Amino acid sequence: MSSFIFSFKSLRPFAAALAVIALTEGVVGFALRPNVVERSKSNLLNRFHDTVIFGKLAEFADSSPDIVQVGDSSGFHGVRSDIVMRYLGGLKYVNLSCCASMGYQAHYAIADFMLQRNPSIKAVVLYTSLRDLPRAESVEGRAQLGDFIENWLTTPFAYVSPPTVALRQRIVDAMERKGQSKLDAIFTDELRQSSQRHNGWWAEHDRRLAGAKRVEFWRGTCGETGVATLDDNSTYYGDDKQSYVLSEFQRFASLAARHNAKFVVMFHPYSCRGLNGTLLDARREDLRILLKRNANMVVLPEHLLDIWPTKQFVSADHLRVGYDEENFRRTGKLLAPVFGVAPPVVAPAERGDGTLRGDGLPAISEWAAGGAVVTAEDGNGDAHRLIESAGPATHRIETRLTGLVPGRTAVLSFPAKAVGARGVFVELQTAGGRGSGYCDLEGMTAQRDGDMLDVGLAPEASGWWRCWVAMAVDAPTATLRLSVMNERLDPIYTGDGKSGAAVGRVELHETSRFLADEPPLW
Amino acid sequence: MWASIPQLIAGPIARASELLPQVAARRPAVSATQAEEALWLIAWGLFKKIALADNFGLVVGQAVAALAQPRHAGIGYVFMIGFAGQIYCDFSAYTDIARGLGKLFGIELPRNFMTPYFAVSPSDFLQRWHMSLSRFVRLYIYDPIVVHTLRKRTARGLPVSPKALAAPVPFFTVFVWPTLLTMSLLGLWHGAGFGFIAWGFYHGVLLVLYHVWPVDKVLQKRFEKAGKPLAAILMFLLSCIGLIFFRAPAEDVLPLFSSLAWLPAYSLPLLLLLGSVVLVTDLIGYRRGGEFVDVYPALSWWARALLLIGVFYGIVFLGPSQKYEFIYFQF
Repeated sequence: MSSFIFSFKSLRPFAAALAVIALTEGVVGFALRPNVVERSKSNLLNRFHDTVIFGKLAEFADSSPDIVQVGDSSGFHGVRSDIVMRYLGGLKYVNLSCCASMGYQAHYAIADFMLQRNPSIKAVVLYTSLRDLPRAESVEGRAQLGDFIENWLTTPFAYVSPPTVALRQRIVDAMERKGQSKLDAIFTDELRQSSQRHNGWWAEHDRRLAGAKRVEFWRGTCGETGVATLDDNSTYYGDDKQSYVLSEFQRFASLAARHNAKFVVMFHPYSCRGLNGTLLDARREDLRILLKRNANMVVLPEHLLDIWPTKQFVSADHLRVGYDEENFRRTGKLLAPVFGVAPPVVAPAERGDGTLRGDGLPAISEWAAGGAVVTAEDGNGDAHRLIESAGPATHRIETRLTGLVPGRTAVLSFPAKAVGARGVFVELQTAGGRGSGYCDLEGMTAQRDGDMLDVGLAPEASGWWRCWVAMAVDAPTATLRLSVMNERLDPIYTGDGKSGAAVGRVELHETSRFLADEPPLW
Repeated sequence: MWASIPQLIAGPIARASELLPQVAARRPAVSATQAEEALWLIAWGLFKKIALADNFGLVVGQAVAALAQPRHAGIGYVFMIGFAGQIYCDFSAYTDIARGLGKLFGIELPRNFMTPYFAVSPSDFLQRWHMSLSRFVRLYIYDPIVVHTLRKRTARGLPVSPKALAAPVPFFTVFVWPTLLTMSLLGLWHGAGFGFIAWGFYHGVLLVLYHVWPVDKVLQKRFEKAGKPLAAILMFLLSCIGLIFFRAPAEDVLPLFSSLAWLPAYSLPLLLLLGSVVLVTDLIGYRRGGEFVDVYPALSWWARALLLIGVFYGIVFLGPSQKYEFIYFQF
């Protein structure tokens, strides 16, 4: 066995390096005061996961909530914490759900992290869609992110990660931001702001499918008749022949029990007209066993299946903006009894009282044009062609809306038809808000952004579409811009001087509350 | 057994005569200087593994993912250069850590790498890459086969002079066959896969070709001073090509080779950054007749301190989120 002879002279470089590193870490730690989440290398994940998962964790890591929600995106978009809290008698609710792609191990790791740091937590809510029940893919197949979260946040290593990692995060974020498109930056900012304001909630921003694409999607999701079939099969069972619902939910229940907390499994409303097959009965049996085993466990709703009209969903598990409000209330009402709170009686939101405004909107030909030429559309008196210029620019027309009633929602709609592979990008700017949305006339999709409440596209005769946007206005005047958009959905591009869009007369409705009304599918 | 902890099965492959006497003997106390060298080897190994090899691994992973896309022109270059960086940094990092740990116990393990990507020929490459394995297969496979073949020739009364052995049949039996067999077995040492055997066989073919037509010498004669760097670049590219067999699944080999007809059509900042670090540090080591780790003792104490700070922040700032097992642990 050899011994060791100490000589400071020889170890001087190590001592000096350690001193410099300690000093640097001390200064950075004192200046940034990063928490454990900021000292993880989360921005090495994809930007969405980084912003949603780690952005929310950094925000709420030490927020002392009473209830934390984890799970897939049905809950991320479908549960607005500040509204749920109105039903919970002052309990603090934090929504840390993100997405199905993160897998159950990541949901668990987040719950574990929050429970370790917040003794105030009285319940963990696992909010999930029936389509995302634990199975091989979501438990074993998507373990990587869960491993990452566990390694960085719930092991002792998390606490020795140097503060300069947070500095590194900020440098990389700033560099990424510099290279980010303006629209992406708005998207990220909006997500962060909404998450801060609403304890982790962010409204859905899904692409809306229109026409044949919409029909095809829903038939693929729910079947021809609208009644889906889900059968129990081997993917729901592990190598030990035990169902993943049993093993995974038991892990959650045990974790919550170790922290004297309840474990609530809550299922999202189902978007098809019905659900057949053996899956539901098999999982009901699993849950019955789990409830027997775990006194701290609750399943909501008890019957699991809560069918809502398909038109209220923008995708399989995302409730459309406006329709999500009903789910905020549903969540609050279902949870209140778990905590012994009598939910307050809240009057249901009324349907909007719409009025069609005939004034305040000049004909298209009178709008100011920039980077585009407006010509009359042959055979359609009201319509005009908006033809892009041949240069790199936005190709748009704009006008001023007057006489708007602040506090009401302006719904603008117009017929449109593509000239070449083009779409229409709509922007509405008021004194305090800016919303945008696009109608992709070739791709049959629409999407909203910023303060725009909703956007949609409905087929009309002879290749025409009706494009509409809805935004709550805060001032009597607003600027409305219609831009031609290329096939990459970009409103800023080099035009060819020939393509564009034909746009008919723009109609303005005003309503106290807007809910999109899509045509029935079945 | 405690003495084997730093070595494990991945190498360096020390001969019993090198290792056992050190373990058996009462070793002198580890001096502070030895300890410093050992800690430096470990630090540098960690830097190469975490900051370089694992990032190269990300590049390779992205290249494999890009293969699934319809357009993947030039992706083979990214794949093979990325993997060349990954396997070198990974394995040499492991060796440095093993040597450093050995030193802390007063045990000297053999060196396993000597700036291999500066090799000018296949034989030079083998003397610089996984040197202990090359020595092992030469001593225990190649040499016995050649000696056996020569003895058989002698027994049959056939000449064994260099001139006689240069004729086609003796050349094949005494040089080509033992070389190809030895190199194929060297490939097989890495695992029972066709790709490993193909990689070893490919290097065997290169050894034979360079023996017949010594490209490095031709280049050095033709281009004088520039000939040596040119020969090193050519050998690097040839060894990279071999790595396609080594790493790629069978179904990806053809797409990777076919993609080499085009240069990559996108920027590769991470690959360039990592490649630059490897190139610069290896060049410093090469010019001093060793590796970069050998430069450390010659530096002033404050330069060593700066280097250690650089290594620490290299790990902090460059270390990726994804961690990879040491590649050679798989073999």
